[in-house]
Amino acid sequence: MSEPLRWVARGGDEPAPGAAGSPGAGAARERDAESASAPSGASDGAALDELRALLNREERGRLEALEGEEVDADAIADVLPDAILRRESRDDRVARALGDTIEAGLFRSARKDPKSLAEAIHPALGPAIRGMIQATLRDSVEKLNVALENALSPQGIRWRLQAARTGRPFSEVVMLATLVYRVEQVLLIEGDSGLVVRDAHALGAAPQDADLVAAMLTAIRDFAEDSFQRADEGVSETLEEIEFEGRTLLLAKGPAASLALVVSGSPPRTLRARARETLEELHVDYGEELAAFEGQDDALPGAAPLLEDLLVQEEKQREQSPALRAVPLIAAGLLALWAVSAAVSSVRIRGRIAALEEALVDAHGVRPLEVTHRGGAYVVRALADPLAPEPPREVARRVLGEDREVVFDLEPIASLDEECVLARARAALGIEASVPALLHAGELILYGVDPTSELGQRIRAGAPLLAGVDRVTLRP
Amino acid sequence: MIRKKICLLGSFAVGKTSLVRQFVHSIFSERYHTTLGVKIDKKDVEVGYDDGTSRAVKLVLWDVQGEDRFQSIPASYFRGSSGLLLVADGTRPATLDTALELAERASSSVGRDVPMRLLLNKVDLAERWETSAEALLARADETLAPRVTSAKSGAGVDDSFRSLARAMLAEDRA
Repeated sequence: MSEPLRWVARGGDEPAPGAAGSPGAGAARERDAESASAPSGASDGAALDELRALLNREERGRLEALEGEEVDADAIADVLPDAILRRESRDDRVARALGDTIEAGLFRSARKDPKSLAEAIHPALGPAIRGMIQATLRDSVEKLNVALENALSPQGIRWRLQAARTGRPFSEVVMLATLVYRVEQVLLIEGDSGLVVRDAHALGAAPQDADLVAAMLTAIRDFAEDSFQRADEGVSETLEEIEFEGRTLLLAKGPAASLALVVSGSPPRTLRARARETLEELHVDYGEELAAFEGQDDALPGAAPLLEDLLVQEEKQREQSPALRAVPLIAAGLLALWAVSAAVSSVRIRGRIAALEEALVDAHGVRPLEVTHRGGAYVVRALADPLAPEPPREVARRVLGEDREVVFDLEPIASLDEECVLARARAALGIEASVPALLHAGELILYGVDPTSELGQRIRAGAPLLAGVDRVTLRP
Repeated sequence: MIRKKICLLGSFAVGKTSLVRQFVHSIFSERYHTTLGVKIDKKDVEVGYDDGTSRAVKLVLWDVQGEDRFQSIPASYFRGSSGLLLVADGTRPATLDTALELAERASSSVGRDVPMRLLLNKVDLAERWETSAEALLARADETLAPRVTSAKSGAGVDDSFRSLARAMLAEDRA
């Protein structure tokens, strides 16, 4: 900066003291420089350009900063988060401004890669769906209970007669009788014209024509205000409620719009306060849109949740019939009876199993492996000699009796039990039952048999081959 | 669909209710029912433009009670109107004066730029008119686009409503 200033001072007028920092000083210097350089030729022209560049450096820098996209983006990036946070703390205009963009982005993302989107929202989606299903099921069960309870009850028949007499749908009669109140329809009405800005109605309700109702309510309200307003009091009174055949129209009036709630039954006073709060909220959030409303379709889409929040209902405490009240007691009694019976039966079964096991252990030629009770039958698993004097079936019949069902899983064996060995010897060697026989420590002793006879010789030759017989003694 | 409020104004028994019934339901009844307060009706109309485009509009019609020296129409009924239909009875020239007075009062309430149409009704009884239609129409300002109609035959009824609807939407376009 010092070099060109010196040059200017040399070639022309001395600048006034303090002129360097004063507005217009740059232009003055430029004029001075031009007058000074005019006779000096090309080198002076270059110097003039240099001087111009130096003098305009600050302004040029600002201009470049404004034009440069990169600088703009950086500057905006620095302030954007704080700006959004500050605006969010004041109102929801940022959310509303970004709503369409985010919606379009989600739509594109879903079309491009549905899987990624599904994975991203799955943690939130699962509980939401479960909650919705639970609420729907609860509602359905409740409705089913009401329907079952009233289908053929005197109350139900009375309601059907009432529906036929009044020409109302049966569901509406039941609803009126079972609900304390229900908000069937909510209308947001523009103040002056009476045109519907937006409306919402409950599921299953038969909504009235919103345009006609809104206009007529506005006309009635205006009529009431014009006719009964007492100007001397200076208080702005307005129509707040209209009752007609079990329905109540609750009205709340605001500066730019009104709210009308079509309610069946008896609405609580809190509902009116809630309607007023919602209307105030609508004015705070959408005051400008309401003031600019000129009948556009689908106006104030963001207001829909606020209106839907007013579609509330309260059910009457249902008095259960004595029969239904007794059902849990009867069920509990039956359950206790069943439990006692099952316990007694279990003890008896365990006793019978123990007795049967003991009898099978005592039986000759039988080795019990397991005795159980399954599916109402006793199951006996055992090793048994086919020649056992008392087979397992007979043991079971003796212990359990004729009527009990018993299933046998028997494995045949050759038992070394004395009774079985003797029986096997008699069967194999043709020894008659009248011949006295004895088995003692592996010795088979037969009485009244001549060793030289044919029977005697057959026994001597065959008996040692039998399991459990080591030697034979024949005593004539 | 965009919604617009139209107010029908005029003396009693000039045929406002009959005009609405003819326009909305295409019916006419000889029986006269005086309107107390206001009746509301509505009709969806497709308004065509010279460039071949069209726009649908839902007209919410406020059929306001007739004005006479005993009862005056409350100004609250005019409020928020996007268009006004002023109705006079050709057989009773005095009703034209009332309609013009109402036009003045209403426009000062809703704004001078709100479109209006003046209908001289009962042209089906033209032989009973004491003053010719031309003479009566000449009394109205041309901004009211005065025209003759018959709620009984339907002559000019649909055109009148559509003309007003077109003018109202033109206000929006502007």
